[in-house]
Amino acid sequence: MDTKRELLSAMTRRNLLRGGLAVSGAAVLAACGETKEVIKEVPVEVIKEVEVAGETVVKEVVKEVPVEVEKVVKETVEVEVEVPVTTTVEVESVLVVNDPWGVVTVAPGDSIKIGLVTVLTGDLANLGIDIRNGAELAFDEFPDVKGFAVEMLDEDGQCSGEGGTAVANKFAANPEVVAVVGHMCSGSSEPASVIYERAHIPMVSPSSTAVSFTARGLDVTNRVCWNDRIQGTAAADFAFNTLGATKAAMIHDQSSYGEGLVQVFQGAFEELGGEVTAFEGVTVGDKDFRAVLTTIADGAPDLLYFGGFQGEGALLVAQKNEVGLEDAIFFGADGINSQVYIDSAAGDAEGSYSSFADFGETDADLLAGFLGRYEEKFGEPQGPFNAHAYDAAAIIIAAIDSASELAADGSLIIRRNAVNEAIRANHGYQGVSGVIDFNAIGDGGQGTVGFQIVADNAWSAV
Amino acid sequence: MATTSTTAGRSAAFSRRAFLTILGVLIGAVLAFRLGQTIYDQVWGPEVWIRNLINGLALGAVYALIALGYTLVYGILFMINFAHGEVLMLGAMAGFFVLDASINSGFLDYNTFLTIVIVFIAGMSAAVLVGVLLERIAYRPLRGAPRLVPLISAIGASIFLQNAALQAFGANVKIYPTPRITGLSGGQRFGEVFVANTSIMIMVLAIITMVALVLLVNRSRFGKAMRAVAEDKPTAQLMGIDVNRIILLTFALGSLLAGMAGVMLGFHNRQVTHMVGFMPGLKAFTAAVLGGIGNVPGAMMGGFFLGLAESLGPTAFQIPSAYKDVIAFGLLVLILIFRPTGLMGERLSRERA
Repeated sequence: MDTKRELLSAMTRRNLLRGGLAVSGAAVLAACGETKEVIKEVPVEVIKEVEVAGETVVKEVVKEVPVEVEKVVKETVEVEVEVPVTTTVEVESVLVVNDPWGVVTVAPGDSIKIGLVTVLTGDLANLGIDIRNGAELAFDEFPDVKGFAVEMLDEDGQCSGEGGTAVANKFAANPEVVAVVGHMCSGSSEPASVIYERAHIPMVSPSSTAVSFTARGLDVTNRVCWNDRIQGTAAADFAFNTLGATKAAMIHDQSSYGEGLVQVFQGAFEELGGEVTAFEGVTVGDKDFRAVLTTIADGAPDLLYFGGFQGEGALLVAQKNEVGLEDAIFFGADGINSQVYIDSAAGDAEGSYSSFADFGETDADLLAGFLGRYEEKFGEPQGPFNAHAYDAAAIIIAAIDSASELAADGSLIIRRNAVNEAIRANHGYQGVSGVIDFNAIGDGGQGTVGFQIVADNAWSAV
Repeated sequence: MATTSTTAGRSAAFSRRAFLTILGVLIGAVLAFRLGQTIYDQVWGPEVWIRNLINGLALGAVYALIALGYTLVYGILFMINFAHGEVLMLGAMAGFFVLDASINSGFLDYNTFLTIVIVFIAGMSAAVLVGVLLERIAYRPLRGAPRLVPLISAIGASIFLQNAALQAFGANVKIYPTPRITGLSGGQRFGEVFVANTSIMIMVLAIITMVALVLLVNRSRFGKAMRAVAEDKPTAQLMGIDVNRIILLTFALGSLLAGMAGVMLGFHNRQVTHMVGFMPGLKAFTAAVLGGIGNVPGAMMGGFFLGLAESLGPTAFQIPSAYKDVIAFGLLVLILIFRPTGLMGERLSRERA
């Protein structure tokens, strides 16, 4: 019996407990006997094999009386035997979580790290800080997941490929980063997304609207704003049908956002029957666009469509008046929809138009509550994407909540792929910015396109 | 043996020369053909050419002013003051703050002309201060060091000043409200061509300044001392010239021009940030090299050449404007292949060699 016990306990330790099944005190023994039924009462040889969970442990010979055998009857008898297991085995309660992308384990007392990548320095800092403020409100509102504090890692992606990849590499090297709100600019998000894809860090951008951001079919790219196909097409329709423009010149800032948007606009505008007189790129950081505008003026367009940001937009709208384009309408997109654009143009922005991410079918109370909290904490909003940032952060926090389990030792286990799937599983999510409905490639924003005009040094409804 | 190697060297030099000549003729022919095509097909109306010519002259005037700062310092110290663009930026910043204050106090409306003068003086003073401090702190202690050392110090100073300005003044764009300033807003119309008043101001002011500078360098006592220091420092010192003082004054002079260019760009382009000196600084450095670094007329010529190339190049060769820098810097490479010392640099460099 000693041998048996040893064997049993050794095996239990090896196989049963490791597998996660706690064996209490009882085991099921199946006794498989081979008996010989005899006519007369004669001593028989009974060989008893004891199997525990299908493995032969003990072969016990009960009697050894050689006799003549007339008939062999094979039968299997199941006998329940109580085997006291005396060995004490330390039970490791490892919660087995299988996730193809791996897990993030947050130790008790630690925080859940979520990246937030905007632009905090440079010409676009106002837009970046606006987005950060929106996200911060979500972090304030949902400060923890299952008792674990949610921490915002605030980074500057600089609206450039280099800035974006630098931050992405930093996050990828940090195994604690679960997900990223951002990046702000498509030009920063796109190169960064390749790194996040490898590191399995889902990203939800509040404002990267370039078509190509999600069109590359990466798993981790998600956004709560619209896709520029929506914005560009609506803008072309507005320019042609509402503003009555028939000849338009395209200007972009050579970013994936600006150039992509202008291409969409061009396609839609030509389809409507409009003529595109020029397609030119300007260099971000340059302050003198008179040469390119002079070339554009030669085609005598009645509308300039600009894909890019406020700084270059303000320069273009001011300098167009110096080259004979004073009658051409200046029409931009969400990148110039800020007070900085108007102030930078110092009066010359008057009468220019922009499209912007209008709130879709949003809950009026939800939106009013959000804007109230925003103004209370940060003052007047400085850009069009603060509500989207709030939604992006809130969606990520909710996804982490649904894709995480508490382990027995009190740590939180977050499954990376499950987070991404939980993000994309949002269908008909009522966000502040409107209804968010993710498709297979991660485009969530349905967004209504709104249009505004600069009147009396402020953006106002058309 | 010696004869053979000389012959070989001569033939190698000859074949290199022949190769360059053929290359030059080919590139010249392609460009001339493209230009002829543009003109023959009348791709652009005359007003496009004239507008771009004016744009290029205004841009070139600014480049020339900045390039003079590079060239003066190089002429005397044989070092590139890479922080020169940041001196310009700080001048533009100082001008902005004074302008802002004068708007808030109502002084602008009281006397517009005086405000503009004060803004220029403020920008130039700030630039001079920064330039002089740079010389004292970042360059003078390294006077005897190998030539690479002050270069690295200059790059460090450039990055330091950029970031210091970012921290001190914030990332937001500072706006020169030019349309509010009578006399600088709007422009003059000559038939089809409209010239902004700021362009006129830049060209007039820059040309006056450059004439004054040439007179200063060639006619004044200070200019004579400066040229003497540039030629031979120890001998100049023996002749009783305070070399350190002359170097400091040269930095001050170069910074003065940068400060003026900064305020001009502020009025002309309206937007000032902590990065506003970077590209003009780089372009002006290019202009200085193009004209022959160390040579005062060369820097002016290089500045105008670069401005015109940038402005007229895309028009002349029917290339998208996004490639204007490619054209400008491509021309730089071409010119340096054929004239390694720049357009006007040969005489001086032979004297120094």
